[in-house]
Amino acid sequence: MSATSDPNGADGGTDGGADLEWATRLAVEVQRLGLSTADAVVSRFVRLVGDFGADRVDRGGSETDGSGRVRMVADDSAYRRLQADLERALEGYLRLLRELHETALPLLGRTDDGSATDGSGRLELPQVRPGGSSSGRVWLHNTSAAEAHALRPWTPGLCTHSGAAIEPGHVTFDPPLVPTLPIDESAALLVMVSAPPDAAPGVYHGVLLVENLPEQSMPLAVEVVAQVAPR
Amino acid sequence: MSSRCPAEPYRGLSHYGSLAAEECRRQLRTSGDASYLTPLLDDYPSRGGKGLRPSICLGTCEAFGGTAAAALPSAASIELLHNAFLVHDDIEDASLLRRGRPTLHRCWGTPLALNAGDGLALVAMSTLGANGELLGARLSSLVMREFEFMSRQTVSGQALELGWRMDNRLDLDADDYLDLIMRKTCWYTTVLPLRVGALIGSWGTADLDPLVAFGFHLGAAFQIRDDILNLTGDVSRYGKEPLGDLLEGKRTLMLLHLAAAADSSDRSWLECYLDGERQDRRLEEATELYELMRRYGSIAFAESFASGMAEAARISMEHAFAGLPDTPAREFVGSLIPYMIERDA
Repeated sequence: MSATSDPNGADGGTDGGADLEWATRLAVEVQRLGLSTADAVVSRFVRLVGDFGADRVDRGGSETDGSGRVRMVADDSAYRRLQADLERALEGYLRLLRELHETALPLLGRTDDGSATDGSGRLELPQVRPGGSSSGRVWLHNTSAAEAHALRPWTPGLCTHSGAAIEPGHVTFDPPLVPTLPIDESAALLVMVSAPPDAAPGVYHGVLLVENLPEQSMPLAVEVVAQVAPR
Repeated sequence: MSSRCPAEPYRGLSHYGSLAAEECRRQLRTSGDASYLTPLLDDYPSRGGKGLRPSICLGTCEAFGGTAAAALPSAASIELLHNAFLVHDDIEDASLLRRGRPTLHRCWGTPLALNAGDGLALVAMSTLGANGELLGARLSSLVMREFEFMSRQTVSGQALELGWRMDNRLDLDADDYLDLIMRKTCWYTTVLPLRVGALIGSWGTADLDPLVAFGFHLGAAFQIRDDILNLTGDVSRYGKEPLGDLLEGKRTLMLLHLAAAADSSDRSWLECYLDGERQDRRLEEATELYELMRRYGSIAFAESFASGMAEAARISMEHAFAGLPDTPAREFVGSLIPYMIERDA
């Protein structure tokens, strides 16, 4: 560090002892010194933070591809914002998939006769507004010793404790029919409930049945709400 | 540089600081109730600080187009980590006062205070856990990476300063000093809050490199002003013991300037003074050291240096915030530049 003060001065300059010329010279020299060294420090740390964990996290900025070439789009801010929007959408989609998966988890039962769960599970669909739809997944596992045929899921409808109802036609299945389910194989069923526009708020209960599986049934519930809670 | 009305930074600090303080309290409440720990965890945060770091984070997030709510866990985490650092710093420096009251280790003893510092750091890290749900996996991992890099810089800077004192190093120049404060102060006080705020506000699209320069200049101005206040500030407002840095032998810009500018006789006296332990130094000697700094212009040097840093901060902010709309949040961040060198607490 260079000495920029005047030790013979009566006072360092903080309380009026130094003359204006000395103070001005000091300020200019100090600030020149400060800025030039600061630039070097900043450059060093920009490099450091850029290198830190670069192999672990891709933040979508300037980067190289597998061949070491810099992607032409790396500095295009419109592209990066689009990329960020797509990632947000993807994360939302993945969250939805996780919710579907979590909904299906209780239903992953193994049965003895090539059919749906053992009945202890319950399919509880996400909340839905009137006019909207809600869905969940059910698995059929054939752990029996024989092939199963013509498995057609259906429901007699859902109703609330006070008698409000969602008719069977508002509950659909994809696929609507599983023609054949070989031994030790599984089939996924997507259950979708479309709440009528005039559906009264409340928890609707029903039961999921499958033709040709006389011993099996599964409780089904969906709540119709005026406003869906944010996820 | 033109001076701005201090009402603007103070209004912003009050607004953002209170949001972060409430989130800190909530996080501390959820960490449970443990004997010999909970009262210590609550102590420093309840003394009320400036809320500078979380305010920079929240203000920058809004300036870059985000909401304060999105950055709130990160901002609270910064503040809790700051309090953790303070607890340990006070032990390392044998400080007597913090925010106008006895330091935590003086109230509870060093072992419990050390443990509370660890506890605050853990609560700070767990506070970041909320980011997964709030920001998604990718963005929250980027924020975590920023915290990890900052933590490494902070502890390495603190080690450097303590090592310099242990070895009684005085052969240091401006580059050494700036490198030190970049690590131990600037990164967690200004650079991290700016970068994390911009990351969240832009949903990961902002160019963070220019924020290193802005944060460094802003943080350097803050640190140098802090060192000056330790010598000249009103203890009732500054909250630390007068001349504490001189008693500790802290390598401030003023001290390094004095070591370079002093004649051989004064330099010998200085080396002898710094060679001792803190408990061996008397207030009269620290006062004599302060007088030497005044006589050699070390304080004027530091004030001028800080003004240069503030001017550099103004220029680098224009680059770092280029293209952003002129919002109250952006104005608040800009108002912190004059605040850094004019504040008295």
